[in-house]
Amino acid sequence: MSEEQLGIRLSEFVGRTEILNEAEAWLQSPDFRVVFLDGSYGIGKTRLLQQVLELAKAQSNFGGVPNRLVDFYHFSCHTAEGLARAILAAFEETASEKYFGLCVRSLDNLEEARMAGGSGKAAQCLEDMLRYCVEGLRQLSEQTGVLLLFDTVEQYVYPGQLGFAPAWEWLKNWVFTLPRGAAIFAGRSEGINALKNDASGKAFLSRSLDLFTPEETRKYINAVAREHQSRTGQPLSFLDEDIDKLHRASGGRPIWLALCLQIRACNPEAFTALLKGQPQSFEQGVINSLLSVPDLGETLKAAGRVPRGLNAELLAGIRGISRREAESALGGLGEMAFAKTFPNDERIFLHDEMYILLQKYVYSDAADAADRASAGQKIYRYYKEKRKQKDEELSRRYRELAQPADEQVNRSVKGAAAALRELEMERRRLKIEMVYYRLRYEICKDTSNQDDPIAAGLKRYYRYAHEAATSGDDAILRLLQIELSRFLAEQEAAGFWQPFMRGLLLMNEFWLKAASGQQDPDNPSYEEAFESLQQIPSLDADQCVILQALLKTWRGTDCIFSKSANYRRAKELLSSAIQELSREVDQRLEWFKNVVISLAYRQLGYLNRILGDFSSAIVNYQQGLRYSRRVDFIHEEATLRNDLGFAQMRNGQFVAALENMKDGLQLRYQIAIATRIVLSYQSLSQCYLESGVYEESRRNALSGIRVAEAIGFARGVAFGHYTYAEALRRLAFAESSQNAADYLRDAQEHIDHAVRLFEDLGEQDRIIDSKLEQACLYRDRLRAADADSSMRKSWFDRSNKQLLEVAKKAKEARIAYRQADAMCNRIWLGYYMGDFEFAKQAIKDFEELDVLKPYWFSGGRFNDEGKAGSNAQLWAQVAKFCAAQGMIALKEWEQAKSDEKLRTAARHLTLAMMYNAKFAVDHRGVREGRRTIHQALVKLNEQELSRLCRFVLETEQNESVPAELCQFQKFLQDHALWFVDKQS
Amino acid sequence: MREQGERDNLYSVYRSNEFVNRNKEIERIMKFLKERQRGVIILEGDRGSGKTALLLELFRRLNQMPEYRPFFVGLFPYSAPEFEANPNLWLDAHQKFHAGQILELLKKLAQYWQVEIRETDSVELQKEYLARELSLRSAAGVPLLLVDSIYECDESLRVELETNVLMPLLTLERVFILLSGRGKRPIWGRPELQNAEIIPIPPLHKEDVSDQLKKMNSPRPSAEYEDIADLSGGFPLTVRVIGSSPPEVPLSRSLNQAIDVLLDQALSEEAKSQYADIRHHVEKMSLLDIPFRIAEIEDYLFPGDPEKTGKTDKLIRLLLQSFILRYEGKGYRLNSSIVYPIRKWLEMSEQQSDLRKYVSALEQVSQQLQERYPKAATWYSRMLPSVRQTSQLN
Repeated sequence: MSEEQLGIRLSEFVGRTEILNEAEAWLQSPDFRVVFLDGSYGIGKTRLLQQVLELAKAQSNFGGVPNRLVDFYHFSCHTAEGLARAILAAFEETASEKYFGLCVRSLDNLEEARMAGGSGKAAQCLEDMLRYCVEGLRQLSEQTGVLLLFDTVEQYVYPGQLGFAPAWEWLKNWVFTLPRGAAIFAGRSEGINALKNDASGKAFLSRSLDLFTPEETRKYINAVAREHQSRTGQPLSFLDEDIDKLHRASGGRPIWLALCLQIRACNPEAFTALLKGQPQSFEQGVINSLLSVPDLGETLKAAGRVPRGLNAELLAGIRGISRREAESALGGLGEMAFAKTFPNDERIFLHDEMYILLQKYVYSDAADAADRASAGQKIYRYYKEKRKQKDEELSRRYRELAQPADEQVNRSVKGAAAALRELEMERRRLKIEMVYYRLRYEICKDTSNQDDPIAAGLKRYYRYAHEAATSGDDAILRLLQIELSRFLAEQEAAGFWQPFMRGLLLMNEFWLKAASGQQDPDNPSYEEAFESLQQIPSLDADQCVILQALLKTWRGTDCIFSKSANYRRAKELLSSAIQELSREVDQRLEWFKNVVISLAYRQLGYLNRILGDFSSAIVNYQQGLRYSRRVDFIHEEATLRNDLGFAQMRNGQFVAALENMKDGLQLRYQIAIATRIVLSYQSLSQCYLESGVYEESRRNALSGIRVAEAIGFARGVAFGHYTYAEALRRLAFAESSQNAADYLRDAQEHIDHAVRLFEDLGEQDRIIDSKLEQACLYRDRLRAADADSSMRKSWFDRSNKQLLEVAKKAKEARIAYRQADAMCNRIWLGYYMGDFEFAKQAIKDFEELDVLKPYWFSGGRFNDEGKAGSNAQLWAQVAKFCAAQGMIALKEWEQAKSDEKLRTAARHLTLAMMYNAKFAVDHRGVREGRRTIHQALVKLNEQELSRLCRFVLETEQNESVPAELCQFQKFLQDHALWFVDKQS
Repeated sequence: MREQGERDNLYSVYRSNEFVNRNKEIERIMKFLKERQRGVIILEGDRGSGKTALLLELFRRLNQMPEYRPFFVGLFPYSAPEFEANPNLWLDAHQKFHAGQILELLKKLAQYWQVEIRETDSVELQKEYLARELSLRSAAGVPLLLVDSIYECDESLRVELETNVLMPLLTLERVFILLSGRGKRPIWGRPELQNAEIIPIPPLHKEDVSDQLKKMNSPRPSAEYEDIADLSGGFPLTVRVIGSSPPEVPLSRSLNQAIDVLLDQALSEEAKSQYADIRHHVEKMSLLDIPFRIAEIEDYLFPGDPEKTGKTDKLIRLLLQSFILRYEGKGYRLNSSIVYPIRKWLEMSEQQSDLRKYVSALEQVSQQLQERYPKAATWYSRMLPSVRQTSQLN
């Protein structure tokens, strides 16, 4: 300690003997006490809590002593989850750690559930975690006594009408009921009083910390002198007169005493001048003196600008100095009495009072304009860069997982999970802090452009909240809400954005529900929110329209995703939102308008997609993309692109589908959100499957599985195995048949796994999909089995049973194309089994399906082409149905060689290719049929082919098949099987 | 360019015949010595204000007063030829005092104050012996120690001197210590040091400047005396540097030299190694009429430099370390003892083109700041009013 640094923290504790004696008694007693300890700023509350902690450590018969205080200064402690984490951290590596084993496990589960995307599971884990935390504390308290020390608790009392930090509700429920020990809440008087009022009716003690008496000041100063001597060997003493002066100057407030000593050390004249000055000039004098200390001054100024903590890298950025210099400067600041540091945290915070003083005397002055802007710019750059680094790091890790050097599905990827989680949490923290700073600092992106920091901050807030709501991150949502609420409360003048912020905050509840998979469009809060919106004072008409549309869009979304899905209502809400937003709005609100309308279009697209109306879905997605382009919102754009691709795939537009999906995947890598990456791989895998590129399909499915497994994304894993199984099954027949059995065995493993996972997840439509695939696999195993194998009958029965079950379930779930798919596959089952009687019954069953009525073809037209067009997948099913009939007829012809059979075959095959072309030229269902057809036809001799071709022409003519749909003829020509004399 | 040798001579040789009017201060000091039994006096003033001269003048006078036994210690290299034969003087014309010499100093003090002490190799013991023997001393004359420039030396040396020389002396019932220095005074380990009598040394009046020039037999024509008084701002060191230059040397060049001397005295070792840069930047900064913060001067000081922030930050640190800058409410402000001669120098016709360049750059920066920060426009418009006047005048 050099003499310039007398203001550094004192290791000896001075005074407060009464309260320490009392604390000792609390720890000895068999009861539990909640103590509210109040005192004005800088009076030494924190130091006292630390001393109580030391005291408790020295008590041999008291066990539950944490290793640190829980400081409510950090907003992360303002949510119940954050507070529970802080309590866990406080007991980490203490003898009491074992009491929190269950809590720690639930926390792990919670993190896993979050990584794995939004589902009700995270909500459950959170509940468990909180319960186990309280249970742990209760047990600990019963058995050994527990000490809880909460500092800076005034931060829990929010300004204005905002009430308390959300965690208070949780905390006050249990803290008064612990059996033994003490919980001490220390904070400024006004905050403590508010908490006490809220806890009225509960038993607690109140204690106050007073300013130092002259005697305590003397003790303090003498302690500084002793510490100085012990550290430097230099004797140091003070005159009584000087001690009096110091006492007067500091008003007996320890923080001021430390500052005065600092100034007395650095600049005696300044000190003398200070003593003569008024309070204001005294404070100004303190600031002047501190800011005149080389290195410390600029470091302090930088620290005051970043209340979310200053680390060396940020300091280096703000001051433009090297990292090494910044580290040393930060070390110097950390030594000061007004600096705050926390265990396992390299950042430095300042004492509240110091933030206030700097604000008052340095930052609020017009003379700060350039310095502030410059710092703001650097803070922005730092966070942007950090955020980018985290994105890139995550992206790199996800890529490595998705495309490993060796393609082993079962290679353990779990090890990656912890590191990924760590990175995700870091990124979450960065996002929150970024919102904090963006709202407050003007950024100059372009010299001609005046920045509106609140607008920019709100955009960022919306972005992150939206991302969190759609990717299941409830934790960040809670913190974002706190950030915005507190910022709102800080605003003195109404301004343009204040009412809009109020409106945006209404959304949080619904976002939280969405993030935890608990969507409920009937939540009465929706009506309340619509009403509250009307009552926000000075809410501009455009703002109101946008916020209403936002509420409607999310409510519409809830209608789609809630358990009691209501698609009609969803469509109404979404369409209404789009309609209301289709107008000019205030330039400042343009971004919000675009982002809401884009989302509304996306959800409408999704709705149309599940309803099977892929063409409309495509149009919706394209509209959504147009708007998302204007707002540069990658998260949305990526989802839109992927979903557009998916709709295009379902509509048979494979090339465009693949392109969009690939773009979507790359965008998702850019933002590095794992669940989204998995879903992109899933889409790609599906699309490759549908377009017949089985190897690619398998590869993408595998990538998806690997990432999904690493993050514990069960749905993604299930999807992956499901698609992987189908790709293998298709490969079995696409390649040489020698490997078919192996492929199928392998596929069986994957599909069984997928079915189990989907059943666990309880997703009805996915269970149907995967069981259908399982049924098809049983059938194909029959196909691959030796003709005399006893297994054939067994595969046949299993397949038939499952197909019927799937058809039934699909019907119940109103998933028409799956029902048709299952029923159609029964025909093929009969064909492969060689049981044509069974097949013919299956044909009848298929023909009776109501949903197919619009698709039947006669007299050159389809029954109801308009209606049929809305579910393109069914074209493919009818095509498969016709192909099966054709193949059966061909088989019968092989046996009987009757022209009638050949004619029937030609007719069905002509129709099959026609239907197929209605859906897509190259659809997987019929593609394999084409192969089977080709293999059967090459066996025919020239005369037979010639007859067949004639029957084809006859069918085309009789049925009036439109020229562009005469695809069987083209097929035969393409395969050089067209033997028709032109003249005839 | 710096003219090291020449400049060194100008302020490294003390001559009492040049000493001018500090009667008020001397009177105050003498009164203190007469009225008290013991105590500490600190002469404080800006660089070049004549602290050393006053301390040596006091030394000269005290030598003639048998009731005192003064001993003078100069910590920095300079010479005072008229005292060369004195046994009660520690002065080295070539090198700075260092901590290793304390033992020897203690022995010299014992010798001069006529106490017999056991000689040891340990400073710890030696100082104890000295203090004990002095307290038992019967010889006439109050021990009086004068230490020049104690605040300018390295902190570690200052602490060593305090601990091993000043503290032991302050245990005596009859003792006086006279110190000189500028810059920051640290908190003292002894109450006597904390409660020292501070004697400020203000600049000289115009007549005193003329007096100084006459006494030093300045080769400059007397017609220039008034100009010299104006240019020097009454700082004896500046007067001396200008006054010693031959009449054919333009005043501007002499003033330039004086500025170098002033800065050289002020700057820390680290800052001195970058003297040319620092001088250049200090010149530019001296034109700013309002306290400034880094972001508003970085473009002015380091236009177009991508590392401007870091460079400005470093410059500020060096200047703060050298005590020629301090933070004053709205921002940093250069010490007026530096600003004054630099502005005078820049306003001289030889520097007009530089001045115009700086002013125009400053105007541009001020303009940009006003545009960029409309709410602070009034503040930034005040960056250069007096300089504008200056440039218009010329």
